[in-house]
Amino acid sequence: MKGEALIRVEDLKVWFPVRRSIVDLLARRPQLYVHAVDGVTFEIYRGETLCLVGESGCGKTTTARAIVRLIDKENIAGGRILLKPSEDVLEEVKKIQPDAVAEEGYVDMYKLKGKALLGVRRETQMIFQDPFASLNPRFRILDILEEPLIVHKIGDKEERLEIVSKVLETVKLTPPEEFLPRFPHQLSGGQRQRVAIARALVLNPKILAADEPVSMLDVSIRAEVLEVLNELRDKMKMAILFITHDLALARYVCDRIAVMYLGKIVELGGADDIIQNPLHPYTQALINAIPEPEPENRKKIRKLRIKGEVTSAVNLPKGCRFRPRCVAYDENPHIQPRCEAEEPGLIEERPGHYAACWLYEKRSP
Amino acid sequence: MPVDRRILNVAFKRGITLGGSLIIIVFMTAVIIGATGYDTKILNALIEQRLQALKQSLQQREGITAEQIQQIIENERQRLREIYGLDKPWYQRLIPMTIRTFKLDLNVTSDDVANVAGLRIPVSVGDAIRAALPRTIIMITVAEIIAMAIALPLAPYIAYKRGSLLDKGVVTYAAITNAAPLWWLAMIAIYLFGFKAGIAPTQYRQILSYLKWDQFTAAPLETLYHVLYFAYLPILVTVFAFLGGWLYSVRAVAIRVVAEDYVVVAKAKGLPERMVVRKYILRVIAGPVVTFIILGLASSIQGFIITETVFDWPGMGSLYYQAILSGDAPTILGLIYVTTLVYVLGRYILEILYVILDPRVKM
Amino acid sequence: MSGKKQVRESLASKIASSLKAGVGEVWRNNMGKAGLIIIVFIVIISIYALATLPPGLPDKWKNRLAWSEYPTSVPPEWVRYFGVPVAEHKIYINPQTSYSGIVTPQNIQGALPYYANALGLKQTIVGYVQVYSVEYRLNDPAFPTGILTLFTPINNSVVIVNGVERQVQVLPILVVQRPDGLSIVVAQESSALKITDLAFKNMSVTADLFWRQYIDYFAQQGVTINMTETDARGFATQMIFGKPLGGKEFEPLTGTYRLHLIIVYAGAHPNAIQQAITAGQLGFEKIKIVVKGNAYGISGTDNMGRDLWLAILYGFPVALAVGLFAAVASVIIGLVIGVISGYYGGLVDEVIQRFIDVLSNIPILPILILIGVILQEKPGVGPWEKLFIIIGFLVILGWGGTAIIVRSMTLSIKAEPYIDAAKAIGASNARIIFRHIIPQILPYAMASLVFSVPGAIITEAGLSVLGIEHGLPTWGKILADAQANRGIAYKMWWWILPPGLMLAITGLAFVLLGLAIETIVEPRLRRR
Ligand SMILES: Nc1ncnc2c1ncn2[C@@H]1O[C@H](COP(=O)(O)OP(=O)(O)OP(=O)(O)O)[C@@H](O)[C@H]1O
Ligand SMILES: [Mg+2]
Repeated sequence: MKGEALIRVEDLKVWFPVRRSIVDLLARRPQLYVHAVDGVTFEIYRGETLCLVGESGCGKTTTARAIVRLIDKENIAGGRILLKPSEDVLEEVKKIQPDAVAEEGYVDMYKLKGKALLGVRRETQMIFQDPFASLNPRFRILDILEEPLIVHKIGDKEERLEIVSKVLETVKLTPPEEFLPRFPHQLSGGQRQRVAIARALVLNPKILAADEPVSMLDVSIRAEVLEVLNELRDKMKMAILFITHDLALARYVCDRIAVMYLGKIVELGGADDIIQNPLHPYTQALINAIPEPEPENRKKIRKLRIKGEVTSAVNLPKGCRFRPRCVAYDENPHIQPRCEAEEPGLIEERPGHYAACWLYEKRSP
Repeated sequence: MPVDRRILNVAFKRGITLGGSLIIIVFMTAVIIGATGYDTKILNALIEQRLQALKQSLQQREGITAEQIQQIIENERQRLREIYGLDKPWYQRLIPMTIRTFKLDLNVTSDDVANVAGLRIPVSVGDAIRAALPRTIIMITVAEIIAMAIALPLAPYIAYKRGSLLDKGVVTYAAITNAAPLWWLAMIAIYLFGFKAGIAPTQYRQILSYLKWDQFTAAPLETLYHVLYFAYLPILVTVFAFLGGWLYSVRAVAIRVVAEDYVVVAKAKGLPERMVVRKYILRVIAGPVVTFIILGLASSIQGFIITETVFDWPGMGSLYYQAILSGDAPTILGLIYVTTLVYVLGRYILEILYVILDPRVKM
Repeated sequence: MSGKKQVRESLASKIASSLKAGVGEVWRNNMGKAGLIIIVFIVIISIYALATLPPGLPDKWKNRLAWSEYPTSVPPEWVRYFGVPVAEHKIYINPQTSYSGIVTPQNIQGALPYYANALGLKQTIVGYVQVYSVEYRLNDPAFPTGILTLFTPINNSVVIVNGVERQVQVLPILVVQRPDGLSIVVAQESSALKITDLAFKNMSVTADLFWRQYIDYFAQQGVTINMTETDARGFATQMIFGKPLGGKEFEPLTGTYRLHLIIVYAGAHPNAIQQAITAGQLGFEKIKIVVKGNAYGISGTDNMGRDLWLAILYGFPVALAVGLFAAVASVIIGLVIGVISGYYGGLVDEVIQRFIDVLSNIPILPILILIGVILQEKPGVGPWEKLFIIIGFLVILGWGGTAIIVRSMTLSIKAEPYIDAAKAIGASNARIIFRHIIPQILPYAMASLVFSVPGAIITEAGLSVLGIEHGLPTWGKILADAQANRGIAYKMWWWILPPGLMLAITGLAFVLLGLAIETIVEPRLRRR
């Protein structure tokens, strides 16, 4: 599996300030932040799909937006995002903006600007979560799909039309002529989602952040589209960050899975490994919630391995952030002082399978 | 954020911006007047005129030599130039002028301006404004209140009956009054009621001699009759022009509410029309309508310069106009200050009201 | 492949087609249709006015002397169709010569009987005489408002006798021969003057010549007229065209009047004069007799005799220019600043917002008047320049409202995921602003543009009324003159009604169009 990492996220922190009033300012109350992403580290290798799973609001979309640099610089509270562009682009960046080049042929996404950034953007694309809102209602499908090509000055009119038609065929919107002149509101939800996918693919990106790209598709098309993504990944050796909250889907699509909770990765490992052998109490709770495929097992009432409500991302508890909801915390009094005192880091419990939980501390060297 | 803290917050922030606006506007007006040399020209002429009069009276006196006269004249010129601040360049006059404006501590310089106020020089700008303000209130503020009083109960029903003949009529009426200038309607009214029908005055300056407090206490009914005789046509015309705008804007606010789900449901439930209007529509439109009312009243005291001029109605608008025509810088600044102050205060009150009335409002 | 090609549109054709669709949508709305029709009319009239009005009109409008041939303070001619008796306004150019020859005290009775028997002060006529005669029909019982005679003598009119140039002097006399047979000398120079000096004279009627004889004559008929000389001056035309009823009352005398302009030549031998006249060396290039009616043209005249119709016509293109320029400029400024403020946010936004705060508290009209009055004093600023400086200030003070709304729209559009999507593909800020944000705001901007047209026109006209003038004959200017002469003008409906009506109709057209655009745009705004 190991190869060359195309994306390296290092201790990324994205904090959004909570608006303060004049009175707060005068009273010198400290600035509060939404800790949307709070120290996330992972790599995605060439030809690999990494799934990011977690409940709503845990920071998945924010992570993806950070990778394609849609987060304002001032909201990056720490860490780096390193991307490995193709040789040509790297050369160009070296030439026009040497300070944005990090070690080993990586570029620092948040140091890039201007033309250098544009070059990297060409290889870094995102499929957005909401296909209704991410397509301009006044643009025809042709305009939407052609825009990336125009921005990057690719081809003349004829060639662009050719590329666009081809990519529409890839996402199974055929015949292309039928769809090109339409406006988004003339498409079904699933068709729009495929247009959103097509837009991300039209530039042949190396790195793709796909934010719940198939949530609107029915099962038959979903499989087809996922197959397309898989094929492209293998053929183009893309690195894909695939966001979903559906663990079953993650197992099917991904090589590895990262489980996120309140802005932090709490477990990371091979897809099968995680599904079959979840380590973190939160992952265990998530997997527990997957409906059983076996009908006779389905009737068994399962014990919910989680308590309470999602904690606020503004005022995080001291120590482990999952502690207020953790069943294992209640069941294992011996680690409680640890959980209360310190935030656990990722601990490699098995080779390539990490969990951020004090339960696994003593066994690691 | 708790509500009281937000009120403080808004009070502070808006206080600064609105107060700042007021200072900037008065100061910039002083700059326009000073930098263009607009007031110096007129003040110089004024001084020369007085010196001429002085010279003539001196020449009639016995036993005074030409040199002595010259000397006296020169001294007097120096004195007057100091009084009007002409001994210093305009930018040095700027700050003291602005500060004195804020203290309303300036004197009217033009006889014509004092005449509009119904007073005689020497008179302070504050007194001139105090004299003109009631007349503008009688004409324009009263008209504004009448138009409101008609529109507020009526407009929600019109909104409720959107698309009906009445509704279309009101929209057309509003469009017409929006397009036809009020001051032109005033001209036509003077032609029709004053000259043709002869049931209204054609000269309105005379209201000066009736609108006096001691006269009112001496003969209240008679004074009231006279005042009404002069005021009814201006008020009527102004109400006619305002009513369209009021009906239209209150209707527009109400229409948005009518389309809201809960009103549609209430209608569908068969609640009587009167109740739907009272219970749902009136309550929700209160906010925007309060905005219209406060801003309408606050700007009404500026007077309507053109309309007042057409009627020759000696209110704030005429005072403004005469002050500008006569290059009376103190009065111009004083008027700008007072009218902007009232308008800014209106906005200030409103923005605090928003927070108090609707705790959801974002800042 | 051809099917695919049709999909593609150029930007120009895209704009054209969306404009066409927009106009179509407005047309389907009744208010919009009415507004559009009126606006098309206004545009056509504007073009007509620009094509037909003389270029010197603004100067002529200011020149009191240029309007002497027009009746003063009279209503339009079409009042006749509403039963108002009208004395026609008639201009006779180069009337026919009814007599030419030598007149002596002996033959005057035969040659010029209307003069010999006329009421009024008469000169002894000896010499060569030419008479120009015209007929004026007074159909309705109404009084004309004056008679005016204008001369254009032949350049350097001389008579050469025996190789010597002789100065010729002339005496013009105007006689009115009434339908009741009575003749009156209504105008005449007190003494003969150089023929070339006539070029600078307009001869008008004066009661001084005949009032005494007139009163005596009617006293013999049993009608007592009570008038002093000063009274008589004010009643000249009524005396000429009327039947006295006693006191100071007159009744118009309908029928055909004959006007005789008698020119007596002196200073050379009559034969020499006759020769010179036939040779075209002496005499007049042009003679104009004007009987001023009590009604004039389409729009009547003001107290200076100016034909109000001309200013009404001139007002159309000016109003359009003022309204459109002010509206387009302030909406473009508001749009650009609003988008910048909303899109870039931060300090830029804060500064712009505070600036607009100040702007929105400025009492606009007083400041405009102040600027206008200051401008008035500045010499050497042309009328159009003045007009556009004033409109410029109107624009500078007036874009705040649009900017505030555009900013809030920009904020909400900016938060749309498709803007993120555009950023992710690398679209520049300019591209995002021009391709994604502004097209969304444009329909709204259109409505606000159309709505701000009437305000600009009315404000400009209002400033004129206050005497802030640029010198162009416009609707505002007509009303300004009315305001300046309020004592008489507010009695004359044709002076105050039409210009205001034009203002109102023009404004109404744009308000209607705006309402139509609003009803089309509004649901779209709400859907987002
Ligand atoms: N621009 C922003 N300003 C302030 N807070 C934000 C912003 N964007 C996201 N957040 C907050 O950051 C947290 C993470 O949001 P994010 O969209 O990344 O969640 P998610 O994991 O994608 O959720 P979902 O599964 O519902 O899409 C949320 O609490 C959200 O409210
Ligand atoms: Mg998300």
